[in-house]
Amino acid sequence: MGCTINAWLRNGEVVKIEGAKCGRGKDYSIQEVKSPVRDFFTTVRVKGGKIPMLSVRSTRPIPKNMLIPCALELAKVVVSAPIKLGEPVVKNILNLGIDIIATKNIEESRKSF
Amino acid sequence: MKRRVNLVVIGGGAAGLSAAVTAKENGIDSVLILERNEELGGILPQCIHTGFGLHYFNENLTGPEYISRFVKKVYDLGIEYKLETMVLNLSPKKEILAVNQSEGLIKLQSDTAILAMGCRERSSGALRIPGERPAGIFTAGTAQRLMDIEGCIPGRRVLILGSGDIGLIMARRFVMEGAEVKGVVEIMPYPGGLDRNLQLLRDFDIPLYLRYAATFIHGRDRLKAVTISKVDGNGKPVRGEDETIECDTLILSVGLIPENEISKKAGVKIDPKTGGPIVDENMETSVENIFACGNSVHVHDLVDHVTKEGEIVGKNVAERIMGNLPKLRKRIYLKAEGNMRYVVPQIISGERSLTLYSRVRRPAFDAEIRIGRNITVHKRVVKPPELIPIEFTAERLEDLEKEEEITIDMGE
Repeated sequence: MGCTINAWLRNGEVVKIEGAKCGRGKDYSIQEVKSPVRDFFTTVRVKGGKIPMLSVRSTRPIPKNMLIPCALELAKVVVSAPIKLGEPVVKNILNLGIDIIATKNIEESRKSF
Repeated sequence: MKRRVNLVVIGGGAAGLSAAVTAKENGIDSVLILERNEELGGILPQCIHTGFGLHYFNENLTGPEYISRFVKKVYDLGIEYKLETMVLNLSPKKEILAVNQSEGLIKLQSDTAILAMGCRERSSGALRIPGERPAGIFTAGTAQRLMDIEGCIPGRRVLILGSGDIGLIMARRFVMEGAEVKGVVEIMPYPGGLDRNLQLLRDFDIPLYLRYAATFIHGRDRLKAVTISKVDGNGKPVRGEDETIECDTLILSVGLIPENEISKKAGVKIDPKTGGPIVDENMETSVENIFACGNSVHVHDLVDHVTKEGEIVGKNVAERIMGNLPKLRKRIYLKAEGNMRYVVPQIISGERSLTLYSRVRRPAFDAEIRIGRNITVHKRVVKPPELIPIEFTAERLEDLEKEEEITIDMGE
């Protein structure tokens, strides 16, 4: 699965790429050496839900150095059940222009706490 | 009174759901899914990371998103399912005994059954690490459930044993939750996970200790430290080359075992190499009308493949119920040898093209897989964590000798 790619840089610009077997690999390597991004996902706390944690993700990959700042930002968030998959949890997180959305449905708990 | 159904699917995870959905879509009315957990979806609701569905949906989904699509199909098709229901027994005649809180004992008579129980993690008991037995030792999946479903972090200073995918994913997860990950310890000379998961060790500067084993557990009530030792070529610790790492949590990611207690009760023959039922190319087990799919057959690396396998089984079972799928007329047994660890299915007819799935013991480059005397399949690179598909095309079948047993071999 996947391929091993070597990229050469001169003055911050990619000058040579070897080993990429498709265009996606090439695009990825350029992105990776210039400004790496990662998928972002974590959980936030839920009030009144069947389970106490809601899994969430970013709508697009975020800059690698923003992973921890985003996680800390979401540690402050508490949402209330019910929650629908795809529902926004935080819009434009840390002004990155990226939303955080729910990745599962959480029903209300029948018990009252 | 025993209730009659056409198909009982044991296990409502990725394999079971796709098999049930496909059987229903192919015209089988009475399908019943029996699931032990309180929700459908198996392990996926707790796998909150991305990387699912790249093959099946051509999309990069999280586990909960991936499985929700199949759960929705179950609802939309009106497939019956029972949650928090434990199957106690499956007989060779497809009689099922199950139990849950609201109905008590449930007795069913089914025409067919699909085994889709998935797999279980190897636990600390299986490792026999010398030392004390404090709190703070968890399997990776348990830690994942605690963190991402139940909302409690198992510890703050973490050592991971085993570099399989789940261990690597949990290493990242702990970092994201503010814990300190001291390292990932792997007994083999190469990492056990997929390449794409190794990247995250570099992302978070987590040390990878290759050729190291855990050799002592310290701590009376709570874990205080773990001693790790360099091992030689035979996996034996080397005297003097050890290190004691302070930590309050040890996460085990040391292998998955197909779950087949029910299969054995039904008299299904198990392949000692996979730990799962021996299946033929229809994914039928040694007991007529009992089929199997997913991680209870063999441990897959991608859920996308599990879904595909479930679909094949769902279709085959539907055909069988309608009387269009006879048992295999001819049976050729495939035997994995040398660097080939196993091959699934283990029995083929030799009359139909199909894809075999195999796994190797050790990594190899420019590998030649020999099938019988006449067929050679070339693979650029093979690694133990990656399933190797072997396409059995019509031309290749022409070259297959007509014998009862065929060896699939890769030199050492």
